[in-house]
Parts: sequence; C-alpha cells; structure tokens
Amino acid sequence: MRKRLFFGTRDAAHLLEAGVGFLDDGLIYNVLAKTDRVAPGGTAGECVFTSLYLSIVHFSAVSCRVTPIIDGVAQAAQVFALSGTGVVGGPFLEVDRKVDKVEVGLSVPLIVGGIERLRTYPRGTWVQALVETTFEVGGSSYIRFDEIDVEHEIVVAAAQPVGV
Amino acid sequence: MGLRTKLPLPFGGGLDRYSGTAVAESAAYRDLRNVHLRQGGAELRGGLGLVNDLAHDAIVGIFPIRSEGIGAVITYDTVTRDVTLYLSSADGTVVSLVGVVWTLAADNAFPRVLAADFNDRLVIAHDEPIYSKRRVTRVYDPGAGTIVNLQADLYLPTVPPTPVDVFFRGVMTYLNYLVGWGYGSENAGDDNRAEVVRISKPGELIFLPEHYFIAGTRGDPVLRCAEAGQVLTVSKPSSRAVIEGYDRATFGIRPLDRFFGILASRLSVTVGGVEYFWSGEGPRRSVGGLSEDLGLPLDLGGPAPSELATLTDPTYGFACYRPDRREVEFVFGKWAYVYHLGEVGAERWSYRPYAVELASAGVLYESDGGGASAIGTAAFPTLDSLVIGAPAGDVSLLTANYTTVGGLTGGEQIELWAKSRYAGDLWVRIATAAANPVGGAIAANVARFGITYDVAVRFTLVGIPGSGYTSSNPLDWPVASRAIGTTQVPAPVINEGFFGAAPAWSRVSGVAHGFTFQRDGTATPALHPELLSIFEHSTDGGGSWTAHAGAALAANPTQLDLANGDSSRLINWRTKDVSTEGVASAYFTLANSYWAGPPNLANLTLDDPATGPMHFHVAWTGADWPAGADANWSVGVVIHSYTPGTNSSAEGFTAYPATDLFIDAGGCGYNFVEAIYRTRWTQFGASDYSPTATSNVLPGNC
Repeated sequence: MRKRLFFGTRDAAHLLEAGVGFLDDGLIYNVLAKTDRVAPGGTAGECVFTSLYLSIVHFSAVSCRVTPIIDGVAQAAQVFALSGTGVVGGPFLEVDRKVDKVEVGLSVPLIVGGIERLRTYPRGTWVQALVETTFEVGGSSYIRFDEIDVEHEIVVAAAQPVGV
Repeated sequence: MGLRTKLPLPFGGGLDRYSGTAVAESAAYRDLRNVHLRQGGAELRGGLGLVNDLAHDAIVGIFPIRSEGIGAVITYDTVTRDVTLYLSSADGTVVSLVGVVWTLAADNAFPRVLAADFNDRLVIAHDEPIYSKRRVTRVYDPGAGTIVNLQADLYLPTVPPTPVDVFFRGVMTYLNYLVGWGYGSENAGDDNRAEVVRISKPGELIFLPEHYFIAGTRGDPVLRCAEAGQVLTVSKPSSRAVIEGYDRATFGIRPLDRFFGILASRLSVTVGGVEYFWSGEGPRRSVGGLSEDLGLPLDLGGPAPSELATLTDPTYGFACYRPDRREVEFVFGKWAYVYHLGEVGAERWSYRPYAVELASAGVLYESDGGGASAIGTAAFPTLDSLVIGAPAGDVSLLTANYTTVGGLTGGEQIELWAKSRYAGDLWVRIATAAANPVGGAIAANVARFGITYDVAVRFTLVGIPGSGYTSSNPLDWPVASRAIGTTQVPAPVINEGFFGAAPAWSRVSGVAHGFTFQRDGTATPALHPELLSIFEHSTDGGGSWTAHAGAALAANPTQLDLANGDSSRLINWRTKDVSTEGVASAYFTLANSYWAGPPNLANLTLDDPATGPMHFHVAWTGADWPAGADANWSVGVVIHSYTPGTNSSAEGFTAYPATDLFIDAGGCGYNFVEAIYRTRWTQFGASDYSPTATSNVLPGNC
C-alpha cells in the first residue's frame, strides 16, 4: 500500500502532492544548508583553513554560492556554476546524474600597488560552511550536497577536537 | 607548513526553541532550509506539485478513507462560507463533489476540521472553541452518499430514546472505537463540556450516556486525543492526561503531565507509536509517558528570522508525516519545522519555507492492486427514458430505462434517485439493483401525485460512486444521467358509509350547517399535502355546481358547510384533486343525493287507544331515535285523513327521549287515517327537519 502526503493551500483550494518536482505550486524555492560548526583543533585549539571541498550531485546546470564561516564570521562568498547533463524536469535516473567535485580555496591575496604580494589563509577555532543554490528564473532542479570537507592545518592543538 | 587534513562538516543540528531558527550557533545569520537530510548530505527537497484545483478558497482538511482506498478533501469558500466535502482518488488526480458539510455563520472564524474514518463512514467535527458557534458533527456515508448529523441518545434516562445532535470538537479512531471530545455529559442541557472525552461502542457509531471521561479541570478544553505507545493521550492547552486500557472494562483515565499541553488541536502526529506534538513551549514527543523536549539540546538564543513575524495564527498550525522521507513537519502557514527521523538516534531538524501558504495536510493510501486514479467505477449509465405509471393506491411506479456506457468490472450496482419538486422534498435513493452490462430498467414507487419528479441514475462499486457522481445532489451529476417526469393524480373517492348511508349532517351555527366526509376509506389514508381537494355541491340534481372555495382535505374526515338556504333539500356532491403544479384529477361524484338535514325515525306505528272518538296513539321505540340523539331532537307528527283528503290535525311535537304521543284527529267522518311524521333538530336557535314518512293506516271512524 503506497502512501502519499498531500497539502491543501490556504489562499486557493489547491491540492498539492508533496515530493513532486522542484516547484511549490509553480513557484521557485532554494536550498540553503549551513553545516554544523566544528573545531578541528578543539575549543582551545587553532587551525588554518585552506580549502573547502564540495561533492555535488545534480542533473541540470546550477549555480551555487559557498560562504565559509570562521569563528562565526562570514568570509567572502564564492559563486560557481556547474554545467548540466541535459536532463531537465526528470525523471532523474542515477545513470544520468553528474557528480562534481569542487574545491573552493580559502586563501586571501594581499595586494600592494596592484601586485599580489602574498596569500594568507583564515585562521581560527570554529569553522562552518554555508552553501546555497541561486535558482532565480530557471526553476528549481535536483541538487544534492553529498559532502563538504574542510582542509585545515592545526596550529595549536587542544586535547580534544569538538564536533568531529 | 604542517600536515593538512580534511574534515567533513555535518549538516543540521537542532531547533532553537527561542527563535525557531534551525541552527546551532547564536551568531549565525543563516539557517538550514528546504532540504532533505540523508547520510550526512543535504539535498533540495521535493516540491509541492499541483494535482487538483478545486473551485473554492482553501482546503481545510485531507483525510483518508482507508476502507475504500480513497480520500476525503474538505474545502472552505470564504464568500458562501460553505464547508464542502469532496471525494478524492488516492493520488488526488480525481475529485468528485459530495456536498456541503456546513454553511458557517458570518461571525465564524476560518474553520478547522478534524475527521476520522470509522465503520466505513467519515465522521467530521468542527474544531471551533466557542461552543455556540460550533457546528454539528456530521457523518458521511459513502455507501448511501449522504451527509447527516451525528446523533446520540446521550441523556439519561434513555427510555424513551431522545437522540440529540452531537457537537464534538474533534474525533479520532482508537482501537475499535470512535473517540470524540468537547461535548456533553449524561445530563440533558449539559452540552458545553469542553473537558469531556466520549468513547463509542466498539465498532458502532453509537454513544452511550455514561461512556465518557472527564479530563482535568472543568471548562479547560481538550484539544486533541492521540495514540502514543499503548495508550490514548488527551492533550489540553497546558496539561495532558492518558486513557489506558483496551475495552470498557479496562478503560481508565489518569493525569499524565501537569506542565506541558498542546498548542493547537492539529499540532500532533503519531509515527510508529511515538506522538510528536507542539506544546506551548515548542516541539515534544511522547511514547505514552512524560514527554521530552525535542529542542532541548539546542537551547540557544538568537535573532528571530524576519519571516517568523508573518506567521499565521499558530492555532492554525498542523503536523503531518512525510512517509517517503520519514520527516515530521510542523507547519505554520508558509513555514514548517521539519524533524528528520531517517537516521535513528541521529534525528535532525531543518527549516522549510514553502512558497505557498498551507492550511492542511493528510496522507492518502492507495489500495492494493493500483487503481489509484479511480473513484468507484469508470462505467456509468445514461438515463434514456422515464416511464411513470398510473397511480395504484397511494403510489405511482417510476421506471427508468438506462444504457450502460463502459465496461463493468463486476459488482457494480445501479442506484435510482428521485426528488419531487414539492417544496421541502429532498433527493432520495429509492432503488438499488445489480447493474446490467448493457443496460436495462430500474423501478420504484413514488408517493407524490401530480408533481414533476427529477430522476437520476448512477453506478456504485462497493458503495462508492464513480467520478462525477459522488455529490449528494444528483443535479451535480452529468446531464445524461438525469430525466424528469410528472406523476398523475388519481380521482379521489368519498366514503359514503361514514354515518349511516349519507355523509354526516350537523348544525354548526344559526346560519350554517355542515356535511362531514370521510375520504378514500381507511386503507389508504391518501392525505397528500401536494394535493388540493376541490369540493362542489349541486341543489338541482347536478344541473349546476357551486364550488366550496378553499375547501381542502386538511384532515380526514372533513366538514363542508352550507348556508341555511340549502337546508332541507337534496344535495349532490362531487370532488377532484389538483396538485400544487396544477395537475388535476377527474371528478368523483357521489352516487346518491343527500338530504341537507337530520335523518327521520326508522319506524312509527299508529293505533287507536279507544280513549275517545278519533283519538290516536303514535308510538316508536327508543332505538328508533337517530344515533347520538339528545335534547336537541324532537318528533313531529300530524294526522292525515283520506276523506276529505286534508290534514285533520295540527303537527304535534314531542321531544327526546319520548317514545309515543297521543294526538286527536279533530273529528269524525274520515274513511282512513295515517300519521305523517318527521324529526326536528333544534340547535343555535334554528330548526332543521328530516324528510317526512308515513305510518300504517287505520280506519277513520268514530
């Protein structure tokens, strides 16, 4: 016996089935996922964060925005676009999926006189990542953030990492 | 530079009870939205696909009817204020109007509805906290296609039965019982009992007066009952109780939680024996014991999202369970808090803004073997012709000839529905028979005469009509399923044996007297309110007729009055019926003429008492007086002689209860004498006479 969840709307008598497509009664919505914060070096430790690695499964062309958050402070967001597989609107079969591995560098250039003199990496205790889709006019589409890893180097180690 | 390592970052965490943000960081400016969480990853949630657009302003309830593998969708129209019931296929693609459940008053709030599928019926309760504004609990019977009030004989004593309408605030099924709350004790007039929980008889939609529980403080309303573990929880705004047991002998109620209740009636859902509900302090869960706080690990402060300021009234929030994703959702308008159960022991929260404002949710269950898009049968009948027979007794036979369109799957029934256009009559299913694969006829008697009938046919399968035929108003069905016809009016019959051989005569005033008729005998009462009986009388043997304006058989027998000018004459009577639509019967004319006055004595004898020349004795018996005789009656006698052929005495009267009189013939010289006699009825200062009769004849000598 198959079960289906239906919703009824308040502003119109629309009967909506949950989990169908990627529009809410024809309207676009976006995914916004922020990871839990972790402290790789422990709460008393300190790390240098060098890169974020994202594993993204999708079918259509999508663009995403990634924002690293170090000790609760948002760093510069980076937007990247991924080409699609040509499958639009489903059905989304596993054989048609596309898995993109994206590396987001966290280094920040020091520019003096128009010349990049060196690059630095953010340093702190807690790290999070905020990833968002930026569906605007094309409509929502399947996307899955399978994994987000942070590459780091422990500068000051505490006794016990937190959140790991 | 030292060794660089990669560390996975987990998604989700918990719910901040204060701000409602799904984050674990007080300084965060974002949260987790529109995702399904699975195995450490997050994917864009599925959308809400439009499967049907009903012609109203909101959907306020979605409920499964599991016995039929279909669903019920309840809508609300803000203009007409109608709360309307639709049937829905299990995939939602096919809906069919059933009828209006309630029409709310102008001062009613936007409705909340709770319903339960019980005993192959859908019981629908109006979750209105103000008792005076609450609508009666309704019962939809898919087999009969009707929506009726839930009635119960709740008040002691139950003999004689005094069923009353029930006004539950909510209903649910539990074990083999229907549970309803918010209405009535066993005392008449004690209706508004918000803290009462009633339990039906097992498997029956019957409530007994003493089968109820009182949950906590009087007047503190029960908002919701739900299953949790092996018990039934009873939730109020700030406390909870629990009903334990499994039958009448073992049921018992006890307090469970004095500190946490439920915020609104629909903010509870039970999954796998665990009740998830939203208290005044946030989400909690219980397996039948004390509840635990689901937001407790994330007891952090933080700025509330701006969207939270636009939340709808939280009492309109509702909880639902998304089985394919194993997610519990608490929905408040456009925003939902989602509790992901997919990973046992690692449940997580997320936040789900919807693009549209939601009012209700429900899980529908497809029947085994598919057929998700069907309601009832796909075949349907067309009504080709309608034949209405001549009246037989008190009824007319109505025969509908139909043709079957589409293939039957087996077990289909054809239903014949009819409604006369007489004011106040409703649609009634008057016959059911097995559907013929090709077509055929279905017939039943109808009782109204001279009236247009609307007639319709439909197929049902296991009691469920096909798509387009689920409305309780067949005028909503396809045109080809309907026809109209008019019944005939039979000529009325007046019973002549009511009082002696004639209609009963009576003096009704000083200026009028009346005839009382019995119509149609006693075997067929035949007092049809749709018929007007027109009575006419004639005093010239049927040469001309005078109608009694407005005369109708409002009761049986009926009295018709005549003015004094028609006294002591032979009267003819006739009558016909005319329906409210103007259809008239033929006239029925009484076979005999009737005397407009009292009856005479049955017999009178004349003899010579030998007390003097031409002195006679006139006698009758007490039994000769007309039935019902009293002091108003008297007998008048005059002696009539044959020689010289004139009356020889003045008329002499003697009053009831006399049985004889002496009368003097007035002289000798007659060949024969006889008595001419009649009765006289004196009332209201007026006298009426019977026809005259003559006695035996005696020699007229001295």
